Amino acid sequence: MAELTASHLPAAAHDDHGHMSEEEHNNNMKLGVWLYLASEIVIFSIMIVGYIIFRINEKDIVAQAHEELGVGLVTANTFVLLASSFFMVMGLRAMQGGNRAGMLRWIGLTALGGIVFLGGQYIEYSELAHLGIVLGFDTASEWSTFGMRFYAPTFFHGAHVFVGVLWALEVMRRGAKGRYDNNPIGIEMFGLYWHFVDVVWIMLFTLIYLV
Amino acid sequence: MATIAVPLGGQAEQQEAEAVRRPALSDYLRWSVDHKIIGVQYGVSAFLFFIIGGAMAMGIRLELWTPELDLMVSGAAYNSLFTIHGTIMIFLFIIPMWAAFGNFVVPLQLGAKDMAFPWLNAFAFWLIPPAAVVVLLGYFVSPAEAGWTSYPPLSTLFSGDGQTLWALGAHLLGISSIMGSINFIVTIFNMRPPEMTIWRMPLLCWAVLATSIIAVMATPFLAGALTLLLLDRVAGTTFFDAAGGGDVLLWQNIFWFYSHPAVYIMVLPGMGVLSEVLSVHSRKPVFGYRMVGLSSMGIAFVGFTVWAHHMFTSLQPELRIPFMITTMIIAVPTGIKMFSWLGTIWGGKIRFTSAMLFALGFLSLFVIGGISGVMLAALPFDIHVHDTYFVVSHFHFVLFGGSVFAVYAALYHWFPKVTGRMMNERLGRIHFVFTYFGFLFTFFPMHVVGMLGMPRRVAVYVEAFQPWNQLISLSAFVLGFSTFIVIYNVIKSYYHGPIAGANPWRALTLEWQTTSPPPPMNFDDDPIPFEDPYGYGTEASAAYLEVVDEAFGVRSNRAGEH
Amino acid sequence: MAEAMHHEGEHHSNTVRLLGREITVEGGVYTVVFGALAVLTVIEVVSAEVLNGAIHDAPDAATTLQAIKAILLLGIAIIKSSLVIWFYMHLKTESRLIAIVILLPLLIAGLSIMFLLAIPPSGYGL
Repeated sequence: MAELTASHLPAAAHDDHGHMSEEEHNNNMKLGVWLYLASEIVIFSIMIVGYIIFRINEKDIVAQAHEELGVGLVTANTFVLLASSFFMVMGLRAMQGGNRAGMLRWIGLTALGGIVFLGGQYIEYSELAHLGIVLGFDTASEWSTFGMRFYAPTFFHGAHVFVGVLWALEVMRRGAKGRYDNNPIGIEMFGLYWHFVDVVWIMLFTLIYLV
Repeated sequence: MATIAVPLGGQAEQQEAEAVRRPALSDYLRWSVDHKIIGVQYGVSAFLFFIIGGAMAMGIRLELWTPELDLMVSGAAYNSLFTIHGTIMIFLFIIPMWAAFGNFVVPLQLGAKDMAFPWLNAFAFWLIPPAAVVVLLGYFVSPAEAGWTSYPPLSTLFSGDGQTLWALGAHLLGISSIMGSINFIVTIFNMRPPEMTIWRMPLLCWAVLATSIIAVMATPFLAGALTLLLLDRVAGTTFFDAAGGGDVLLWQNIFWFYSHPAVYIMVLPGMGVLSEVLSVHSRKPVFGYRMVGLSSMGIAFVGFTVWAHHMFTSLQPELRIPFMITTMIIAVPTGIKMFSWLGTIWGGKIRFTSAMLFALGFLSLFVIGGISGVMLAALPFDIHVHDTYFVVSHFHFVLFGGSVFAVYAALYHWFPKVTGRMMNERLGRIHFVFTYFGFLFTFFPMHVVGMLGMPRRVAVYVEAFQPWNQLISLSAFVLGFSTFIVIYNVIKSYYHGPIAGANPWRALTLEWQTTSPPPPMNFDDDPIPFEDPYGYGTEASAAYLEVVDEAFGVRSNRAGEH
Repeated sequence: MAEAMHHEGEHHSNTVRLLGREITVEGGVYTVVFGALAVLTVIEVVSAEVLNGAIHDAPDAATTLQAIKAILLLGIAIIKSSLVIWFYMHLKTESRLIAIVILLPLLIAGLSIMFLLAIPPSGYGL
C-alpha cells in the first residue's frame, strides 16, 4: 500500500483532488437553486389553484372583497417588491464589478424593501381582520370561505419574503467580510430566490387583487 | 488505466489487509458528509423501519387469522395499525432505501468524488430520524386512522392529533426527499468526469435521475396538500370540508398528483438495479441500453398523467376512459424494460448468485404485479374489485415483489463494495427460497379473495374467507421469518465474510474499479470508464478487468472465478 | 472571474439598445427592465379599474368584459414575470438545462391547475 500511495502522489498533488473547481462549484449551486425553485413553483400552484377555483365560483364575494380592499396599498407594496428586485440585481452587478461597498448598499436596500413589504402586508391583514376576514371557517361570517383562500397563498408568499430578508442580512454579513469578492455566487443564489419570490408576487398580485 | 502503477506480489496481501479497513461503526452514528457513510446511514435506518413496518404487517395478519376482532380492541385500532404500516413502508422504508443505494452507488458509478452537495446530503438524511419520531409518536398519542392516503374527511374530522403529527412527519420526509433528489440531479448532470458521457452512464444512474426528476416535480404537490390539510386540522380552515365550502376531491386529486408519480419513485431505482444485476451476473450486455435509459424517462413523464385511476369511483364518469388509456400506455415503457431484461439474460452465462436470484424473483413477480395493474386499469374490472384484496395484492406485488426484491438484489450485489466482505451465498439462497415462496403464498391468494369480494381495510370479515386468510397469514409469517435470515447473514458477513477484493463480480461499471470499501474520495486516481458499461464478453472488457485486477490485487472469493 | 465578467459583459454596460435607439442609463438593461415592470404594473392597475367600471356600467356584457380583463391582466403578468426571469435571473445567458428545469414544473403545475379548473365544480361553490 505504501508503494501504491507513493505512486499516486503526482495525482494526489492535483489541486482538484477532492475539491471542485470554482466554475464547477458555481454551476452546481446555480442548478441546485433552480431545481429548488422548480419545486416551489409546484407548491405555489396548489395554493393558487385553491384561490382560482373559489374566484370562479364565488364571483360576488370576491368582487365585494376587491371593493372593500381597494388596490392602493397593495399596488404600493407591489412597487416596493419590484424595486427591491431591481436593487438585488444591481447589488449583484456591483459585486461582479468588484464594488463591495456598492453591493452592501444595494442588498441593504433589498432587505429594506422586503421589510417594508412585510409591513404593508401586516397593515393589510389588520384591515382585513377588522372587516372580519379571518383564516378559519366561521358560519356566522359572510367572508367565511374567502379568508382561507386569500391568506394561504399570500401568507405563504409573505413567509418566503421573511426568509428572504433574513437571507439578505446574512449575505450582507458575509459580504462585508469579503466572502464574495472573488466569487459572487452566494449573492447570485440569493438573487435567484429573491427574484423568484418577486415573480410569484407578480402573479399573485394580478390573480388575487386585480382579476 | 495506464496511469495506475501496479504493486504486485507481496503488496497484494497488504492490499487485502488494507481493504478490510473500513469506517468504524461509530462513524455511522455521527454527522458525516461522505456519501458512502450517508448511504449506509440511509440503508440501515430504512431497514430498521422495514422491520418495524414488517412487525406491524405481522400484527395485521395475526388479527386477520380469525374473522372476529381478537388482537385489536376495535376497528379503529386496526385502521391505525394498517395506516402506520403503510406510512412506514412507503415514506420511511422504500423511498429512503433507494436514497441509500443511490447515495452509495451513483457517485461511484459516475466516477465522481462525492455528491454535488455533501452537506445538503447529510442534512436530508438527518431530517429522517426526527420525522420518524414525529410519525411514530403520533401512533402512540392518538393514532392516524385514515390510511396512508389520508383522505378527508377521515383525516380531518375523524382522526386524532396523531393525524396532525402524521402530516408533519410526512411533510419533513417530503422535504428530505426533495433535497436528496436535487442533489442527485445536480450530481448526475454536473459531476461526471468528461469521459463519462450521458450515454455511457450505468442504467442505475438513469433510473435515479428519472426518479429524482419525479421527486422534485411531484413531492411539492404533497407538501402543498399537507399544508392545506394541516391548516384544516389546526387553523380551522375548510379546504377539504364540504360543509365549509371546501372539496374533498381536491385532496384526492392533489394527493394523487404526487402519489402516483411517487409509486415510480419507489420502483424505478429497483428497475435500474435490475439492469445492473442481470447484466453482470449473466455476463451479457444490457439488451437495448438506450431504450432502457429512455424508458425510465418515459415512465417518469407518463407517470404524471395517470393519477386519476386511483379515483375511478369518485371522479366524474366521463373522465374515467381517458385515464384508463393513459394508465395502459404506461405499461409500454415498463414492457420495454421487461423485454430488455429477458433479452439481457437470454443466452447469457447465468450465475445463480443470491443477487441474481432476487433479480430473477423481481422479474417473475413484477410481471404479475404489472399485469394485475393493467387489469385494474381496465375500468369495468376495476369497478368490480375496487377496494378489495385484489388491489392489496397488486400493490404488494409491485412494491414487495418489485421494490423489496430489488432492494435484496442490490444488497447482495453491493454489500461486498460497501463492507469489503462477501455475503454468505448459501444463506442468501435459503433467504431467497423463504422470501420467494413466503411472498407468493401470501400475496397470490389475495387476488382470489379480492375477486371473491373481501374488502380491504377491515378487521372483521365473512367467515367463508377464513381458510384463505389463514393460508395468507401462515405464509406471511414465513415471509416475516425470512427477514431474520438476511439480518443474520449481514451481521455475520460483516465480521466474518470472505474478503471481497475490488471487483468480486468482475463488473465493468466504475464502482468496482476501486478498493472495497472505496477510499474517502472514492478513487485514488481518476478512473477511466470502459467504453461500454455493460460490454461483457469482449476481449477488450477482459483486458480492462485484467488491469483492474492487477491494480487492486486479485479477487479472493469463489464467486468471481466462475 | 475575468471570463465571467466577459460573459456578463452586457449587464455591466450602461448602454442599451431599445427599439433601435441607444439609451444610456445607470444600471443599463436592469434599469430599463425595471422601468418596463413599473409601466406594466401601472397599465395593469389602471386597466383593471377601467374595466371594473365598465363591468359595473354594462352588466349585460359583464361576462365578456370579465374574460377580456382576465386574459389581458394575466397576459401582462406573464410578460412581467418573463422579464424578471429572463433578465434578472439571467435565464438569457443560462444553459438550456436550466430553461428545462424551469419550464418542466411550469408545464406540470399548469396542466394540474387546468385540470382542477376544468372538472365540473362538484364540490366547489356549494
